[in-house]
Amino acid sequence: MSSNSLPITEEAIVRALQDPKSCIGKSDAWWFSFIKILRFERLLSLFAFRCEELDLVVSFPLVVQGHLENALIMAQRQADHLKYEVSLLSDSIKTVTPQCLYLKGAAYCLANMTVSKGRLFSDIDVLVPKECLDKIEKSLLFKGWLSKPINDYDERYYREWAHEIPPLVQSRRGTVVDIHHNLVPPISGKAPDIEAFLSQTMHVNGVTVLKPHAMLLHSCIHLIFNETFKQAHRDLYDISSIIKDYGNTTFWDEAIRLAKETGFYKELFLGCRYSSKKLGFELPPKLISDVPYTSAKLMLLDLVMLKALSPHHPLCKVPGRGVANFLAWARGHWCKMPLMLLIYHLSIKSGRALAQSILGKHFFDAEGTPK
Amino acid sequence: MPKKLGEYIKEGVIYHAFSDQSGVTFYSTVSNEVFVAAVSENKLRAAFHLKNEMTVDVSNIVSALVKQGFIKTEWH
Amino acid sequence: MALSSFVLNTHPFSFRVSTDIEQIVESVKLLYGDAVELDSRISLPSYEIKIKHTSLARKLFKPQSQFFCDQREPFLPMPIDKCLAMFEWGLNWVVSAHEFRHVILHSAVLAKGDKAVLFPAPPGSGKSTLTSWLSHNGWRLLSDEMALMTPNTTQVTPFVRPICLKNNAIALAKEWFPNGRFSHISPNTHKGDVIHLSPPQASWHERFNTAEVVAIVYPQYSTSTFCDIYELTKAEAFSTLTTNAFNYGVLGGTGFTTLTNLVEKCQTFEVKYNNLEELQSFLENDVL
Repeated sequence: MSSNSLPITEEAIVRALQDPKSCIGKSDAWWFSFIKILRFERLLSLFAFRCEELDLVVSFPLVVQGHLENALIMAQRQADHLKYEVSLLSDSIKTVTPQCLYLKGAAYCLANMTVSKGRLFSDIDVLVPKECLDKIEKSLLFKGWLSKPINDYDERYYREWAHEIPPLVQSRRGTVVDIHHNLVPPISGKAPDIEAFLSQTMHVNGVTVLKPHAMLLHSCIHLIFNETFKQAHRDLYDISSIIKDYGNTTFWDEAIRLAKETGFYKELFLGCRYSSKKLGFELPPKLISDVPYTSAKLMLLDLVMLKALSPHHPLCKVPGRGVANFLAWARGHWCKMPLMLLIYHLSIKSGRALAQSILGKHFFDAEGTPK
Repeated sequence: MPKKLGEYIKEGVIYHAFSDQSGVTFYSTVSNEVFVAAVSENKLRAAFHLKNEMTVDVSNIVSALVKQGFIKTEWH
Repeated sequence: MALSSFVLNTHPFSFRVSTDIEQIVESVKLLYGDAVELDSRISLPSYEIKIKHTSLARKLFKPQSQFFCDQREPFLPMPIDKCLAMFEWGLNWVVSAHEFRHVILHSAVLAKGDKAVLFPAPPGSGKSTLTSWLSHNGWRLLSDEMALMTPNTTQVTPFVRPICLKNNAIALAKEWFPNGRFSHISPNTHKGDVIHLSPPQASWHERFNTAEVVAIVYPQYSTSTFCDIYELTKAEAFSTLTTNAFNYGVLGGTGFTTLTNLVEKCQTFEVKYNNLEELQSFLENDVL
């Protein structure tokens, strides 16, 4: 916090990203805040990409030009490097199993989708069969992919309760790979039928990724099942970009069908709802009209989620956020684990008082839906 | 020396032969790895039986390395 | 102390610094002189820095300082007596983590006029002793630790900051430059005892002027050797240089071509010495 940093509203940030030209002539103080917010929200390189496409970079102050240039170089470097990393990773995984599905940022980039342009990703996410997890980890450790050191408790959480192995760091190159066997932690009791997803894949540029409508669903699930929402705002842009590029009738029919088949229609509905509300685009009638909540519940969810999904940088003031964030965080945790385990987890991580306040004042029932 | 090169060379190689004949260096734009060979350009050419001069854009050395099996064809 | 702010106008980057640590305000003013702008006209600094005490409670028992670049905290908190060292390392981190428009070499760089020499050096080689000597003997300091190379050129942009001296070098420097602007010592850091020395005014005055690198010199202090000079082949020079370049990986092909170009255009020497005047003479007569 510094004494004279200019706060910027969420609307202004969204507008700047949708219409970068509107940033011409903004004050230095505005830019100082804007760049910091974007960097924190992982949106700086996306903004830089859009500005470069529109030939706008030179219209901005020199310091801003520098930041945008740096962001572009970084994003380009990541994209350049990914193909090679993935090739090595795939080689290792394929010695154990042919099923090697790339997810999220890495998938967008490998499939050359618009959503990948200017998008930084911190890990390479890959989905493999559950029974192969151990063997794959051994094989990767052998090849020099080492576990990222995280504290004991977090590692136990991962291994025991989330059935995932901790992210592995390639010791020489510094790549982190996150090996999953499911799309949400199965301890939530809401694990999707993984086969339903595996039937919705495509082969592109030598790798297997989800088809766009399945990517949308996965992105929505990921958005809603967030732990802290600290950097969830950026995911709204992923959702909107996928919809913008692929959202035709067939796409929506398949997305809705897959969502209902796997039991994640609520997540699809909410993810698309919030992305469309915040970034200002239309959703198809069949999605808008099929509302899986009572209007009271939906109002409550909106109240919490719209605040939780705003940018989290302190310079982006969102009224009434303190409380909402906590509740959304609670919902994120709730969805992932059965009640008893959640209380145990919270009581270790954040103190008994927190666990009690959830029990005392919770808005959600044990299944994770609001009462 | 040629065997070592095989481990490192991939497609998209930038190559530089040092002007004092002290060696050559390759950079792979794909794997982001640098290899420095302390062998003169002449020796390297002889090792790969290149009849022509090494071109700046490295295309003939790349094709020689492919022929020798040092570059993975899947990278083309 | 309440939070106070100033702008640190160190070309080519500027930092808005907020701190509640008096020692930082005093030391930074001492070491950076005019580059510290209390009432700055710069309304768009490059980066936002904060270095502060941890919590009020901690302040009483085991005071520590924390470093932030906006919301990011790259280091664990450090005991308060190392806060200046933390500040300097923090600035290094900010630049290396965010700036990719230059190829950054882990190297000192000094110049006479606009001809510069790079002194890349691993710890323990006595590089900072050499840096402090040359900067007080007719050379200007462009940087003590980070050489900012313009891609595909031999041009280096100054990033003038205090010289970091460790352990034995501290006593030596204090002996040679009794009027030097020294900070207090940060004791027992992971690099040993650390002190900072502000380069003379000449370096600060020239900080906006680029220079062309004409040579690369690896100095190695050796008690038993007067001055032994060994010229490296270009392949050797290149190989060694890449181990001192920390961001050329991000810059990909550009990083590579910048370094090959540099090695081609410059001579590279390894010098074992125990006599600084002799080394200086070699540099001024044979190298520049």
